Amino acid sequence: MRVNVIKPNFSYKPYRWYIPYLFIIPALIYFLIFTLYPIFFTIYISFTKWNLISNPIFIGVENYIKIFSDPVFLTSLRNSLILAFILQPIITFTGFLLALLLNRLLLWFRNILLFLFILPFIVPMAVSAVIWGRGFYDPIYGFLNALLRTMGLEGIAWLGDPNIALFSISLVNFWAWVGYHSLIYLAGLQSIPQELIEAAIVDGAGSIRIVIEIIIPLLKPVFTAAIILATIGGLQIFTEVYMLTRGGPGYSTYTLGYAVYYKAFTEYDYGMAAAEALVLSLIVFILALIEMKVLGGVR
Amino acid sequence: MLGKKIRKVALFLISVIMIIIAVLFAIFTSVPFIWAILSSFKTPEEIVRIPISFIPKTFTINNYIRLLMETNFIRAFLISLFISIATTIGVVITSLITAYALSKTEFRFRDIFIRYIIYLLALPQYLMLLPQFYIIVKLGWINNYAAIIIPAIVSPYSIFLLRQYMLTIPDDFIDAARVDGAGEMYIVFKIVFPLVKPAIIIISLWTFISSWGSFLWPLIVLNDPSLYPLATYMNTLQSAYGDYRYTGVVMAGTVLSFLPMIIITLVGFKYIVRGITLTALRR
Repeated sequence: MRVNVIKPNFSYKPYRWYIPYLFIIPALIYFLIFTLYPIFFTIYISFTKWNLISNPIFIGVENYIKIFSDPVFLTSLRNSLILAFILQPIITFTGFLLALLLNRLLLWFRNILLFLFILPFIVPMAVSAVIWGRGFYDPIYGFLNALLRTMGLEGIAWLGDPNIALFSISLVNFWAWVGYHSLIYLAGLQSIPQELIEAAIVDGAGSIRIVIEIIIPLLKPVFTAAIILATIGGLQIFTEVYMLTRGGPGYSTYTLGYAVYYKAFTEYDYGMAAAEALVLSLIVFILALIEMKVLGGVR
Repeated sequence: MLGKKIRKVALFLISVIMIIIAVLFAIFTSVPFIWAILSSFKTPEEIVRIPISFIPKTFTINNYIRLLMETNFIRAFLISLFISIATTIGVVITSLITAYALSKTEFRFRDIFIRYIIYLLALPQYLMLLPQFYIIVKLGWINNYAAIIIPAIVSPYSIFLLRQYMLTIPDDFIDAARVDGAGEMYIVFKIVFPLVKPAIIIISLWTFISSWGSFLWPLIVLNDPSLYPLATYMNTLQSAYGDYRYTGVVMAGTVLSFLPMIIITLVGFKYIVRGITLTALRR
């Protein structure tokens, strides 16, 4: 490595003890104003009645009692739990299977596929949601129903049927994230020493046994990280819902993220919105604790 | 002999099946984009003709002309470009100096600071959303791009990633420069910066991409739809051209919005892949 030679003709600037403090000032200000203060403020306003303009009125746990007897919130909680704990494991497992496939392909071919796999993750969800909503899910002129009709099947009300709409939202999320997961697992697979696999083959282990007995145990940290990250993301799904259904039909696709948004910015009930946000955060917090326990605490 | 042959054929077949599955999946991930491109070249009559045609029978660029002439698309595009570039520059500068302080200098509370950043990475956006909005209101930044750029120019993720990179630089490098009398700013920008260039590229691409796609925050802090950046503008475009016959115009809008991202992914593929792997496997 080439070491930069420092020109001798600048003034001597000794290292001062306060320099690190100067350097962290921007980040520190940001962390205090935009993260630390908001966390405590959210906790505080969840115990108040507040419309942003007048002074918050302290009402104790009333907001929490109200949200847990609110069928809309309970629906959004149920939907978010489905999106987080059923959909995300499916996504990450599919990603893992695809990574096993990708890992066996030639590099150039693998990179082309990988490029196509991660595109939906890179393209803004709002843009993708328009393509899906307008181009794919439209009952009359959409691609999916056109496809079904050419196969002689009936069209489906993808976003109009309360029993299907949540599935349709999930499909978009699945489409957007599977490539991301396949990429993570691919990196994990490539970090496994090739000798281990070869030794297993010499011992006569079949492909499935190699996956179950060598690859999965070695990738346990990757699995844990990917599943927790995905679950945390799944709990916060918003853009798909906003762009495709606005929580409808009825409340069938309401999610926690959408519920918080709606309570705060449409109904201006910041106290209840904060209580909902805290319930969401509590689930995330528990997940993070589980992750630390599984991964053995210190990172 | 025969057994070996059968085994070989079976392995070959398995490989073929695996390739087919992978290719089918790639079709699944790319078909929406292809469909958007094809639809954007269809005439209004063809869009609403049943049975639906997959390939346009008459190619037209009218949708693009209408998009660029009739709508605010170009404005939204330029707004997004401005916000994304400004945010990226800000993130690079703040990440450089903060990561430097956190990896190459000693100070009180440093470890608490680092720990705080790590926790922040796992916290949901909704925990902080409402007070952040309140702060923006109090600052009088509603309908002002400062509301989008300023809160985004410090990125815990970028600081963390850059710090990981800087830890691999030997301290001797920096000590030698200090002995030679180099100021800390000189060290950060002239010595450390060239050494962490790959990480800078990763966080730049990453910041640009996420800024380009940011949706919820602009939706909240901008009341005036004519100020919307691209992602948020998609919603306006979609409802303004709600009539089925105008689907081509809406699709032209999506094509011009995802095209820059496709180009960035093509050009920076290596770095984007590294960025994704590093974030996910950061622990």
